[in-house]
Amino acid sequence: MLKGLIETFFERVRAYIRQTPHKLKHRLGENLALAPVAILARPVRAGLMIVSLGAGVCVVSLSSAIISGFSSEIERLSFGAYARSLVITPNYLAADQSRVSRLTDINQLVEALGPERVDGAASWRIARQVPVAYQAERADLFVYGVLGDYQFEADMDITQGRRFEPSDVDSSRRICLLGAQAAQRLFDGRPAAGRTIRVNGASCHVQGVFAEGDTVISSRFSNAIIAPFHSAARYFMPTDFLAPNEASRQTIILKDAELIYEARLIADRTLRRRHGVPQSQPPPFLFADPGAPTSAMEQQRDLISKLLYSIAAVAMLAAILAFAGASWTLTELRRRSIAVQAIHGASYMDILIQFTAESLMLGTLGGLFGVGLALGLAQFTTPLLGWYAEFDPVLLGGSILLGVISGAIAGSASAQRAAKTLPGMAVYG
Amino acid sequence: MSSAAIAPQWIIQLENLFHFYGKQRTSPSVHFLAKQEFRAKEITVLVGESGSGKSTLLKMLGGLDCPGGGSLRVHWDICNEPGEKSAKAFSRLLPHTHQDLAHYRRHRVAFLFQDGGLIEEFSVLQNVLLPLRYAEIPRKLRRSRCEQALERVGLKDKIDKRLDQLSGGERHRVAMARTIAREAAIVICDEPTAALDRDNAILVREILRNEAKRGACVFIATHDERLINSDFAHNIIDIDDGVASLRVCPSASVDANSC
Repeated sequence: MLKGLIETFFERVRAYIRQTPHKLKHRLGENLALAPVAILARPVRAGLMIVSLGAGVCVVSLSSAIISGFSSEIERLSFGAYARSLVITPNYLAADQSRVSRLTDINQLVEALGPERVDGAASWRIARQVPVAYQAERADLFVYGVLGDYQFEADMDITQGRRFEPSDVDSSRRICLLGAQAAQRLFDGRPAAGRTIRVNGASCHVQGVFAEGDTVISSRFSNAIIAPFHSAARYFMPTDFLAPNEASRQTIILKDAELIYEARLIADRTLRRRHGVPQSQPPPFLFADPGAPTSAMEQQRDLISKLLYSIAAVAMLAAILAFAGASWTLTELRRRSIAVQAIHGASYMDILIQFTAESLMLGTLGGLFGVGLALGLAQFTTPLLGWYAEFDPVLLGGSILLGVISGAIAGSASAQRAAKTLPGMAVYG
Repeated sequence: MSSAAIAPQWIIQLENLFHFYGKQRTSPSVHFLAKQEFRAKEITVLVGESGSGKSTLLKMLGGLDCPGGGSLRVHWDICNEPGEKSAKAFSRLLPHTHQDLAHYRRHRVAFLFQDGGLIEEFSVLQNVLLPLRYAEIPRKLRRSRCEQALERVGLKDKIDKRLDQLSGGERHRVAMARTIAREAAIVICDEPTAALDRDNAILVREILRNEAKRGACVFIATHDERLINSDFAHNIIDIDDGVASLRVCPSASVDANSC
């Protein structure tokens, strides 16, 4: 029976196409022109169908945008090169951690890991709440003393002045780079490069100013100054328990994040041997896991994706069924009108084309409405979620296309039903 | 199409035409025994008791239903539409397929029904335009034809009104305007004056007379005595218990209607 129906359908399509191109174009144009007339003739019903389909499209679109925004948030948190770094910090719970972060350690670790595994390495010495002043302006800032390849972590653009050269980093000169917020606090929009500020009471030449970072790790330098390790340790930091050649954190940038577990084993063995700590004792150092938050968030994202897409699929299915139901009911109500059209010469294909065009138009409007609704709702969800729901052109276009396709699918049965209406029904029931 | 181009020759020819109701095709419900021809400019009135088969015959003549058997031929090249390629004279046997019937209705037939057969949600103009859309009348002609037709029924000022803003009589006049605008070769009317007041009934009669004068072959199923008289009708088909017989009215010649 189904095969017969399909054959009949295609036979009628072929019969329609067999007509001369002029007639085909003319009749196609007429049927397409009747579709908006029929839609506008029932504005409330058409509006409800648009809202029904739009709600489904909105849920799909918003879900995709939320997941897209979440993915971007993960990318923002993935720290760039930092995510594939071996980060070593002192273990403050160990009995003796005073010897583990010597600057020479990092050279030996790089040597043990081998140049084929390592992109760069940096030693950091960090101090919090250091008083910094320029003329009457004062601020308490972080001070980062750095030795080595600092640019992997501090990968922001420079807006004023210039970056540190390797010779600057290795020196004990009293120079610094200012973070964006720090420059704003001290200079209030005025040029900062070339000025001299006071850091922990010592004068310091501002060599450059960073732009705002777009990753979490780079944004930590926003309210801070970066200075060469030795000058920071000697001049810019309050006295603490670290020896002059000890670092707060040492970072080895690996070529591949996959190497991190192997690198940890090598680093653990090397450092224990170097500092004489047996395996039976807790190490005086710790390995931070920069990729852990990202992994956790990716797991969350996958879970949220499944949940949201399931909800979206159900919502879309419900919307399509509602649209199809409304379309079917409307077709039943319009059967007399359809029969009148048939009486005046509308063929099976004319009605089919008109109704399909109506469904496509309503579907398009539903898609547009759904996208608009999703964009509007995103304004409310953003503060609730803490990240932006991201709408890119592909998502917007895809959502509208989803509406169009859903409209066509949902309206196909009623279009068939309408096309089969017998003309005599208009007057003889 | 120009009315003058229409030759007063037969447009529809029936021979041994019959129709069955239901699946049991034992005996026909309507039966024409003799060969009958209906010419342009003629008005044919179908009379008979309710249920006698008037509407069935109209449905077959209008291409709304397929005959159960016999022959129903249409002289196809009469009343070519503007822009329609003039075909060599030939007659076509109806029915063929639904597609063919749609084509026949689209290009040859105009309808006028008791209840108007209007689409409620459309405006007056859209209702009158509807058959012209399907008849592939050029766009430039459509509007002027609609306006002229509505002017003839006195509704030109209501061209953009919705149907629910019109009275019952006005709605019927919209249906009449639609029939006029179509300028079809065959006009099918089912109880066109039923439930109409005297003025509107007269208007319907005049319009149908003018349609015949233009060159159309008009078929009317009615119980209205004003239409069943020899001054108006050229042919009267009496349908009695499913059997139809033709009575020609000599006093209502084609020339008389042309006056």
